Amino acid sequence: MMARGISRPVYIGLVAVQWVMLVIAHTAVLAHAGRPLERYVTPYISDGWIIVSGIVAGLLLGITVRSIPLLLSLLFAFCIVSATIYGLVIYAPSMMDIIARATVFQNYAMQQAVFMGLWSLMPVLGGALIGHIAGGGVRRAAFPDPDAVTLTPWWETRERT
Amino acid sequence: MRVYLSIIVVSVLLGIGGIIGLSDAVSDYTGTLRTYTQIDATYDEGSFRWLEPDFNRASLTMTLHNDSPVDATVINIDLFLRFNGELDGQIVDNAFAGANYNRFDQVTIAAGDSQSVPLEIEVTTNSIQPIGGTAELSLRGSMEVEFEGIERRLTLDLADTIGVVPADASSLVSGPAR
Repeated sequence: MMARGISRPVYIGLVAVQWVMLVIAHTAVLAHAGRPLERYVTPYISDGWIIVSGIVAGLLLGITVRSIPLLLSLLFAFCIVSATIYGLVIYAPSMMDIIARATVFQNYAMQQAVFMGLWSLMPVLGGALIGHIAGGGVRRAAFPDPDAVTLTPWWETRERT
Repeated sequence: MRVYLSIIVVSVLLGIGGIIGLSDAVSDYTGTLRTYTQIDATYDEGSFRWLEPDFNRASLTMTLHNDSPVDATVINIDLFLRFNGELDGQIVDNAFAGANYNRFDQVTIAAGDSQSVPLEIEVTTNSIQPIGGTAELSLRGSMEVEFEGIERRLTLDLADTIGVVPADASSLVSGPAR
């Protein structure tokens, strides 16, 4: 008897939740490791953690997402959204009227966001590649293919003479 | 399936850590900047006095306002006196005249408090010294402040206009001999 796998709506929900949570986790790493906030945020961690965070996020998404086009879309969206939130965090004091709204500061926040987005992309893609290759078994266990042909070994099918 | 769900759980746990970390970072960042913007130093209008008739030395008072929620310690104030006027038909445009060369004793200002600090300026640009009484005077400089609970020191730019202060008899104060 074939084990029942995760249904499609549940799969979409799980991947969506996972993606949102990983975006938040990666943005938090950006905020604690990014140079613009270095002197304001404690603890300040080394910027190498951005690469670690990107690899881990890519790895986890790579294991769970079944379709490669969907995985790539999610990874690009991951970098864009986390970088955008990071840019908004940098610009937050202006939005909260703590400091003046200056175009120079807005441009700086945007430039830093683009930079972090691009910097995150490579580790995220690398992590996803490893995760997708290594996680084939995990996905097969979670989503068994009902049409898969189960081959019976020849020694079990050979007729006795 | 169990491994698959474990990976989702790990991601959710990372996300929860991320929510805490991100909110901490935003709160630290905006809180520090808010504190930084709530300290100010202003020149006390009318406090500038020439101490010597040859415009060699002057005294003035700066008031430090700490509207931030934490105590602030002013570590140092660097003030530069500038002259704007005319000397022998030549325009003196915002030229450096002198500074407060004396060692600054640090001042701690309680949250929400203000404190006046007397400073002495020594004019060292002898070429423009004679126009001290007719020139438009202004101040430029910086102030280094340390806040309680905030690691980074703030360096705040200072700028103020004094105006023309003639060396009339009433404003002259006999200072100590140099």
